[in-house]
Amino acid sequence: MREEPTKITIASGKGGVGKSLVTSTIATALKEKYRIIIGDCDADTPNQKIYFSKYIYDKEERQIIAGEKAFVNEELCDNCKKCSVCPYNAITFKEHAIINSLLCEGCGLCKIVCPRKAIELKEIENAKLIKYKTRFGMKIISAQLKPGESGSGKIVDEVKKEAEKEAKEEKADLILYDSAAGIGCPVISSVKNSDYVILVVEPTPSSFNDMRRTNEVVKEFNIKTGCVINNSNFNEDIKEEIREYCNKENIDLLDEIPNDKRFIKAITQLEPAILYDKTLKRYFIKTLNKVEEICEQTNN
Amino acid sequence: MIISVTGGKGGTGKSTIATSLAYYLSQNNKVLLIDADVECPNDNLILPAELKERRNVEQFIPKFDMDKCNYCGECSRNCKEHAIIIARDRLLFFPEQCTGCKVCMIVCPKKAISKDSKTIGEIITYYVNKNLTIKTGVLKPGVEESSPIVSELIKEADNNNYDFTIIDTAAGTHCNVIKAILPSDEAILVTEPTPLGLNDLKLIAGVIKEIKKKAKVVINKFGLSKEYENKIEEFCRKEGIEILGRVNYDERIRNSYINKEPIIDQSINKIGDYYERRTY
Repeated sequence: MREEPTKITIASGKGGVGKSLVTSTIATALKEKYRIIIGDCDADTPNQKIYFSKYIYDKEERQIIAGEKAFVNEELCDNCKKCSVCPYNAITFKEHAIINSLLCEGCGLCKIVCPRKAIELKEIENAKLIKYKTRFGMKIISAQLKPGESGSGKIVDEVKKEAEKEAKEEKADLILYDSAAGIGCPVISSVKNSDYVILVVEPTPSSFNDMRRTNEVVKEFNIKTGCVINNSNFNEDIKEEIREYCNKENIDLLDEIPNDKRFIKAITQLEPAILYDKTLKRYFIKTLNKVEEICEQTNN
Repeated sequence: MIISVTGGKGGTGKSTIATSLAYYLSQNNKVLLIDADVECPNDNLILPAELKERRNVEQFIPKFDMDKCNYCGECSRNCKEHAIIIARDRLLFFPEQCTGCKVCMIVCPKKAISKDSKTIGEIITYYVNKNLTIKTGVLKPGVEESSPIVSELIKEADNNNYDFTIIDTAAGTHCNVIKAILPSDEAILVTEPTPLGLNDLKLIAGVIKEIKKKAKVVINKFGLSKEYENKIEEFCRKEGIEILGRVNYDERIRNSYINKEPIIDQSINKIGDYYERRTY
């Protein structure tokens, strides 16, 4: 038997198509069957805590260091401008060099080229790691990056590290990672080392396009993938194209979830969808079966 | 005038508002629409757009002259991205980790590193009509670092040939979003009346305040929840942020979006009229 828990990542490329809904619903539906940890990998706008806000009774948070930034010692700087080589154009000059910390990536080039040793790299605590305990027993590991910062890929790694540590302590069977939007660094970090990826898509040209771009990334990691079509009644033609694409790409076709007003009602009442109305669970049957199947495969 | 369209949460309607505003303004003005969501750019799929030009965006990567290298390890020790590993008499380079900072080239005591490049994406120009051009940044799937594309793309905003430049940002509050907002005179924050929309609106409004930009709010999908419409209005009142428009949750808008037809909506037109009045 494998020691580690099963890891499933929910991604989409485009934002707002239902990643967090699918993640929170799987967690709610399977909470009695498995010990579950949710890792919210969206460090910009983490929202799992909102889906479960009524059921969170405790939280712990700590600052984490997610990077370094360059700082100028104004007394030592003689404005020689050698640091204008900054590859991120983060340095401007008045009486001395001025570093725009929103643009600085902490590469240290300026420090290396400075003849007067006037630049230092300092570690900065630019993110919080937050652990929420819910009345369901499941925990949510989440991070909040200081707005404007980069390096959310590294923060995603921190979220995953913490989730996996927590899973070990709790003897959890399943970790669900809710990815950020996009296809760049944070998403790559979210997806890698997963046992299975669920791509959420809406039948719109934008969402379908972004799902294909996300799949290009997931394919590089050789991870088995499934697809949930949310708001499936938006457009029949595009839905059919998505089905064909999934067949061609060997992606498991999971559920098709129609646009149903009860989902909006649920979230505005801060209630996980299937607790707001348990009949909504029928829209998720194939997905839940697939998650159970992956759990059985990876734990045996 | 340069207007950025942002909002924090994904799927609130940033691209819907940006494209329809750009389209409306292009009836009487020269308009440039910059799609700065380089990981998932879609404005060219929302408007009827014709591809005109594409160019690659390159990024520095090191090229190692192994005859000069003495495996001293300086490059590896200084690389923050851990893209170079030296194991005795072997040097391993992982181009996908490299973000192009050039530190390795500068610290190498043997001058064994020179410039090479890798393609990380493209900048594509589309024409919608004689008054409306779209410039889109597109990250190559598999490349981790998208910010050099945003930096390159955003230079296009510095162009006097247009009466209006509209910059459509990515979701979130990270550095790529900030970079896209920075050149603008004003930001439109698109939100939706849900707890998620409100939460993320507060985050992005905080960022806007920090970088000292003016912001206005558009409530999209208006009609979804009276309770959260009120909460958004209350938040805006408290923060002194003007609500520029309320766009109804409307199947007609969604179908135009799906069918790549320009969205014609009275409340979006009013936003366009407002900006036209301000520039004359």
